[in-house]
Amino acid sequence: MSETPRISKSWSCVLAGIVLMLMLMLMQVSSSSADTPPADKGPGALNHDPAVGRPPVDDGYASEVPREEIINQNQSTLAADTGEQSIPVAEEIEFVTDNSFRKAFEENLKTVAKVDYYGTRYVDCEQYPLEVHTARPNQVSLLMKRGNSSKFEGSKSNGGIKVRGTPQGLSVEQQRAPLATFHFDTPIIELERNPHAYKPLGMEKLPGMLTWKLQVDRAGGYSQVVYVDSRYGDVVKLSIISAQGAHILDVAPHDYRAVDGIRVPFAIDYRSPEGTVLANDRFDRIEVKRTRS
Amino acid sequence: MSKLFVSLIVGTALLTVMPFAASPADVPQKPYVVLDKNLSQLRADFNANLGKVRMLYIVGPTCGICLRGMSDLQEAVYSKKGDDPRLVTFVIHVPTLGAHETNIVPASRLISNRHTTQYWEETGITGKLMQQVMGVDKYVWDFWTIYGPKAVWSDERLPPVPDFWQHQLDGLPAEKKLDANVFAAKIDGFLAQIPAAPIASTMGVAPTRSE
Repeated sequence: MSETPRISKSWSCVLAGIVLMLMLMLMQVSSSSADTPPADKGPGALNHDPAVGRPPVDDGYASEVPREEIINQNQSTLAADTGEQSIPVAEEIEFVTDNSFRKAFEENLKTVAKVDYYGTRYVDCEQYPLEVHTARPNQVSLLMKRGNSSKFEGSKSNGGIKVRGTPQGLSVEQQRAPLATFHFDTPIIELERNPHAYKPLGMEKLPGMLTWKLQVDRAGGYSQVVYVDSRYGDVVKLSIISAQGAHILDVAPHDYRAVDGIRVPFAIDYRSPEGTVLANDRFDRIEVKRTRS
Repeated sequence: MSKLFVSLIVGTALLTVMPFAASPADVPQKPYVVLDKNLSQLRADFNANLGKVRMLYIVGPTCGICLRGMSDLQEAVYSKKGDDPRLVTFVIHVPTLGAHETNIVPASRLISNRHTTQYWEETGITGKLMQQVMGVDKYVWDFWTIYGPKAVWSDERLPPVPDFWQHQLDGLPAEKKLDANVFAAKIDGFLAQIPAAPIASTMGVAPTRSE
């Protein structure tokens, strides 16, 4: 008998708690509704929270997409590197080589034997006459004159890399790197010959343009990360990495123009890995020499 | 009485704590909206922005050419016009080329604009519906549209016919290939129909889901 009043008392306590809970819950709901802007007036009328209440998808993944548009469902060939700015993409190499704007330029380049560049290297307020001579297969020589009749010479040929004097703006190691990694042909031609020549790394946005990002191993243990303009197919940046994995230099060719049927850069900027501008090359004359055939 | 008092305190304490345990603030906020197969949220967002110029893009987030389109429009439209509240953009990511939901965030960074909302639509029906709207025999994606301020999405399923559109597909008219400068000029034409000040004050701010 004595149990009954105690139980009823406990129940009344619990009931009181529940009533209070309900009241508080109602208060919270009304308060959050008031905070939510109405659909036609709020910030874009996005009065839903995607993080909660995600709508269920009725059917399976890509069930409404034609089969020919769903390649690579397991993403095994998705190209990407670990860089925060990289965007994973599918079929990168195919897209790089299938650039219709580029076709005629690439075919013309295959008939070219030499390209000579004449211009000036600018370092801070100083400037130095500059000549760069390039030839097949992957030969390059660079001549930079200084006022006091001294000069810098660097070259890459079958005999290897030769450097004489002190380059302006860049250290000897930095100047060696673009010589050692120089390639006469474009990535598109290299990829046509060998689709595995470059490792696809996805895409990356550079100022004003979206680029294809590719990695390639070069002679002397160097490697390059090559950024190709996704519209015009021009190489707009090269990051050169040493055999030891050290980032040595960034080279940024730009101001591309058509000369005798090929695309050539009339300007090259050199930057340290930290982004400091080391030197700028500007060319006022570029000569293209073709093979006799 | 003291028991009643204790119960009340415990109940109140529990109530105070419970909502916080389930608070949406604790769930990581996605920078995109997941659509159901009826595209109901997209339709609601579209109609909620009546009176504004609305762009609707259907893209694959791992398709390099689609990404280039977004990048080009960022340069030609968004970086120049800033966060003009009269312009509202809906980017619908569909599962082409093996794209998955994880691919949306990196792709969506290409458009930097307060009034842009990114959506993930997992079945890809968006492209099929737009195909129906356009009356073409091809699945429609990598597709870029503009709707003028008067456009209303009245059908239960199908989006309205765009007032202007471009694409980057094979098999559709070559003269309609995406040209970001032409696209930007068209947007200017539609914007000219809307007085700037009244819209900003009466319509509020447009979707703000981008980044």
